[in-house]
Amino acid sequence: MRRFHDIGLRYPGTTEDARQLVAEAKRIGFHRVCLNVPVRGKEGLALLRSLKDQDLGEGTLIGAELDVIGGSKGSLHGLLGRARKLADMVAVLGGDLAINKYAVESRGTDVLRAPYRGRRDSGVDKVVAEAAARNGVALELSFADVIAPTGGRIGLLRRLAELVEYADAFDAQLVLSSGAVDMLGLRVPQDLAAFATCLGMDNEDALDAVSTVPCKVVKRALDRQDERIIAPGVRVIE
Amino acid sequence: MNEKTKRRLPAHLRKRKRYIVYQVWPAGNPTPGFNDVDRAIRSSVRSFLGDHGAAQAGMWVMKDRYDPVTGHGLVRCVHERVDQVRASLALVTKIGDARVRIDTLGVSGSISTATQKFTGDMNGTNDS
Repeated sequence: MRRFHDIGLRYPGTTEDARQLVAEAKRIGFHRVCLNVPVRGKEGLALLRSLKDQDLGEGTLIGAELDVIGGSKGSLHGLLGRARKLADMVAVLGGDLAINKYAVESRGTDVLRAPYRGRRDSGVDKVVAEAAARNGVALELSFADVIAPTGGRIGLLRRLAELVEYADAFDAQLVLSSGAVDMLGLRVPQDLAAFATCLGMDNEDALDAVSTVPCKVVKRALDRQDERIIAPGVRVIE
Repeated sequence: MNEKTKRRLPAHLRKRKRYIVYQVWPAGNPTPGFNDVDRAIRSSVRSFLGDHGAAQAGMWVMKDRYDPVTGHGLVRCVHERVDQVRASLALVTKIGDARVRIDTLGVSGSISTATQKFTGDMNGTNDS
């Protein structure tokens, strides 16, 4: 039986709203969710620190969504290191090609979110897709972008389909998430998968994009926090 | 040829149908009426699939199966287009002026199974 994961939820602002969002996500079929806190500077890191000890529901992870568009690779590098210590998962909000490349080449990144943001192409080329596959960084499509596209939806659908093609061609991991910030933004996992099939994925791959693949991403992220794992593939048993 | 003498296609040539059970959320007070739901779903399908795709989907929002109390309803479509219709339902964000979402509860090949299995209506009839 598949266990569905939504690793793209966004922190709604208050812990009470966050609890409601998580509860609703579980009700509609998600096994595990990740609440992402936008991090652009110190405020985001402070919020991450405060959320670390909060109980937001069983199986809830706290993620950092690094947004450094317009910034340099150096600022992303610094944020990655600091966010890694505070969050269960680290996602980089894409858009800028240089940032997309840096994010997938960095082992500290778990997810490259919305690499197509603000672009006229998918934000992924052969180099990015290969690096993502090599370093185990997942490429994430957010359904929230489709519900409320900043430009036209036709162009966005074309960019998403292009992203799916690149991920398929270079065996990069593809994750589909709702990107919800409130309960009305959530979608049933099978509906997300149905949408993915409209982008050119086959049924199994589409269901994997909301279950198996995010599950792997979560496991890898949690393994990083395990002190017994001293190198990739090396665990201290006793 | 009038309606009574018009012969249907043989069963093996007819398109197979699927019934998608949906729920308008949040249900409760005030839940949108059928006409608003119908308009929102049709508009979403047409916007996402286009006129040609919508025609191919053979979609029909069933009026007599919509329950305004619980927000449950049925959409019939061709079995090859279930995913596209599901995706279109997921793209509905507003009905009238109210922000909503439409959850798909399940897909079935017959109305009775759809209502019994997914809406808990054990008689398979929804007369509201």
